[in-house]
Amino acid sequence: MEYTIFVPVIFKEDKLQKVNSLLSLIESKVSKPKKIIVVIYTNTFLDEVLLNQLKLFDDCQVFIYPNSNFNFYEGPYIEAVTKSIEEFKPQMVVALSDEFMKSVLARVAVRFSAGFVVDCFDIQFDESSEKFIFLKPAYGSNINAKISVKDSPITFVTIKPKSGIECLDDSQRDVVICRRQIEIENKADQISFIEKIVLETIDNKLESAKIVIGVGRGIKDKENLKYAYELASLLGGAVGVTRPLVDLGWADKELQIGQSGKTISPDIYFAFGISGAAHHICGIGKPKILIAVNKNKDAEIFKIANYGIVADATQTMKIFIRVFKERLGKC
Amino acid sequence: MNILVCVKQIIDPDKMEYSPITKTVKRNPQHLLNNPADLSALEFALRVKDTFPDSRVYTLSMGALECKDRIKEIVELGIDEAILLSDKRLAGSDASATSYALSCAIKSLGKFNLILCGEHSLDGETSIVPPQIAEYLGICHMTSIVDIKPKDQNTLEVVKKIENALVRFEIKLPVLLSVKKDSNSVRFPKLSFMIRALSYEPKILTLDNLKDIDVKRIGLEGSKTTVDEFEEEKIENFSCEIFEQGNFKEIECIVDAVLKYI
Repeated sequence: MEYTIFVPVIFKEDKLQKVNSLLSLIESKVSKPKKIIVVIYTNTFLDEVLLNQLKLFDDCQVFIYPNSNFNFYEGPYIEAVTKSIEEFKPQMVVALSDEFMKSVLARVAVRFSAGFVVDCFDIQFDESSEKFIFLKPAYGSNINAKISVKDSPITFVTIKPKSGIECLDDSQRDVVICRRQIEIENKADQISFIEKIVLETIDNKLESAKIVIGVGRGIKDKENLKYAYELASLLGGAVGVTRPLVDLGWADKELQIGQSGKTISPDIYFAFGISGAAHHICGIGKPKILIAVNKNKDAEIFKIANYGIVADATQTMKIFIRVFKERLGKC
Repeated sequence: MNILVCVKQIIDPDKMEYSPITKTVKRNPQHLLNNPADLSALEFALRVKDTFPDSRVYTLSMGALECKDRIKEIVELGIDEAILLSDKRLAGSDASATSYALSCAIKSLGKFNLILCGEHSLDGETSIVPPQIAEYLGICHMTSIVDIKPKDQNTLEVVKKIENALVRFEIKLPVLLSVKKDSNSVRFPKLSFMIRALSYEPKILTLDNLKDIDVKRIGLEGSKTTVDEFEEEKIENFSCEIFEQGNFKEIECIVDAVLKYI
């Protein structure tokens, strides 16, 4: 019998490309005969241009469920995902991790008395037990927990990749995309939307940046962040920070790189004043060039750096800015 | 208004010691602390009580009896009653089993107009417990809340954070909200509350006090997800050349290497 995997996708004025890495992961880790059902819930019309962003495989089917009730509240999505599971009867529900999706799937998992593995980065299949094993970082260190699910006809999983997942294939397959209708009860009497305020953050695009300037406690003062921004601006890159800077209130959590922050995949990573604690390192992917600057020559970061400098982070940032400016011919 | 805040006592993540030999984590009760996001949730509850002084704020924790010391810190903030669900049979519960146990405890305690939780705990960080409690209780919920303002005894205005936007809603009670860490500053204890806390004993509940709890759905047996084992990840050892002092020449070379790549 075919193993059915349901991939719910919540589309919110973003890109559908985000799904591709998830589909690649499923395709490469689940080798048994399977059916992958991608369902996109949206309140806007998805045109061909958007749909062409999807890199699908032969065993994929795509359904689109538009509804004007889909917005910023979890409720309508909870109803819709429940209906989809009743319709498609999957053995596994897999989604990319984000707070909103977890909030939705958590309630749906209860409805189906299902086990829910939250934020794993890898799936393995154990031949002897014929079960899936899910890998998840544990205790903020380079220790992973191997998790399995029992007594659960459906397994719910959210994936939080450690580093960029390579997309398997570039070619377009001939996959049928069905547009459907769905009725959702509107609980407008209990939850009423008032307004949306877009936050003014510096347009950082941390997760897609190819060059990232990482900054840690070694910069000593909140004021010194400006050098990181200057360097990033010179190189067309983004700025990211370690958890202590967020805890200190020097930067917004949106800029945090690491286990409980963002996962990035730059080609070039500068680590200024970063010690190299495992819960940060697991978020930086596999950069081609990692330049580490730290006052402590025994800092863990030097174990994974290509170039290491033992010096004050802020002073070194300033020198880098000067040299880059000279080389790039800017004043 | 009856308000319940779920507060978890967690092991300080900076003090957790993992032993690769025994493959277990050393849990020292001295290193317990109240989960910061839960304290933000509690602060919002107390602000509602400031606005409507007839409201009562209860806290519910689940854990070993050693949690009592940390619970006293919550009492100092000015809550009405602290409850601790403590039973050896709960040991080994995963997030879902925990949600089930907590919801049974909440049902036994009575009806609450507002239930607040922290969004993430510093240990675990799954964030699925609050929505699952809401599902077991059959009430609406919303996560990622960064502000709560009561409008009247039945209505709240809340702000939810989504990616880089804030969305404001008006919500009619009852509802469960999960609150982001650092969305407010937790108040300082008042002297009278500190004195009360000195001799205060939280109300202890065991599974026998809960009506209608199915013990097969809690603990290790009731958990549908289990940690089979831990494994250490090997970090590849690059041989990195380390330059002392950050000589100008060295930085110029690195810059050239980077520019060649771009």
